[in-house]
Amino acid sequence: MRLSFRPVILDMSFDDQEAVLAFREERLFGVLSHLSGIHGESAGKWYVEVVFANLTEPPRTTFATLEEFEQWVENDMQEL
Amino acid sequence: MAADGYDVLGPLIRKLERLAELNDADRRVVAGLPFTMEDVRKHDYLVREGEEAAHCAVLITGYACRHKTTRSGGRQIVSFHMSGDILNLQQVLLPRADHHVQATTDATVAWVPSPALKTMASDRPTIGEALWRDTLIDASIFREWVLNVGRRNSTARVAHMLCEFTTRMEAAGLETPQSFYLPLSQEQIADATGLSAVHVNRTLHALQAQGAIVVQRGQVRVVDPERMRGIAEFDPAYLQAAA
Repeated sequence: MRLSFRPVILDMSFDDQEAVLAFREERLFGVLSHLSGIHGESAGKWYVEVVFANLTEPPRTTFATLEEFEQWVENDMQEL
Repeated sequence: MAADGYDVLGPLIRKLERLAELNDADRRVVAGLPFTMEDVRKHDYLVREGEEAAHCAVLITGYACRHKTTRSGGRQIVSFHMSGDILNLQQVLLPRADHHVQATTDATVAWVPSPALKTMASDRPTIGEALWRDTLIDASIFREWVLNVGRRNSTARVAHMLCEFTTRMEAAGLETPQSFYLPLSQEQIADATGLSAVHVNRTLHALQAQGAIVVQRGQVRVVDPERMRGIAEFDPAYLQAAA
């Protein structure tokens, strides 16, 4: 099942306010932030703030693109 | 030789002196322990979970951590160690390791045969008391870490861990309390606080914005320990003689 993304601004005091809401079947699936310049080599990558699906832990890795995140959801995410 | 023992095992003698009132005979016995020196590199394992050991590692220089891992590879650091610490004292009585011990920097270790430590503890009651007290303080630190990882917000959590580390460094006579780099990577801080590396980076920048630390090239420099203690609500009482 493909995800759809809606851009949002996070109300966060750090620099990573640019973000997207990820939806799966009209339900809010998770929130990803776009990492800012304070993160050095990881700047520009997507970081999973939270996923809601069945108590799944967010991955510790970051994703170069939202498509990469979708592939992780498809292939590697372990729903409890 | 005794002279070598006083020199090499000096950090252990000084640590035991913080834990109990050693006399000259006690110090002589510690200095006379048999040992083999080993230089280890950052990330080298000193003890692996599941293995049995006949020797205890006394950390002479450098830093190390104890950690456990999940099957999927997630690592939780459960304690940090520094000069004078016996990294696997529990293996004197419980030979099978229930966790890993790993060097977090290049380090020097003195391997002491476990039976020699056991004999020393029974022959010299004051040293036995010091070692017993050390394990009790270890337990106190673990309780504080459970509270830290389980209940503090991320800024206080990271600040508290850094406060504990700097307080123990001071007690071990390793650094002056003002403005020094911590021998910890952001990855290690993340694994010790149960946070992601991204969130640790944000938290360190928040602590920097409050004037407690400076982050340079991924290294953390403490510039205002008092401010950081306030942010962490740090009370060193749980460290007992380790503070």
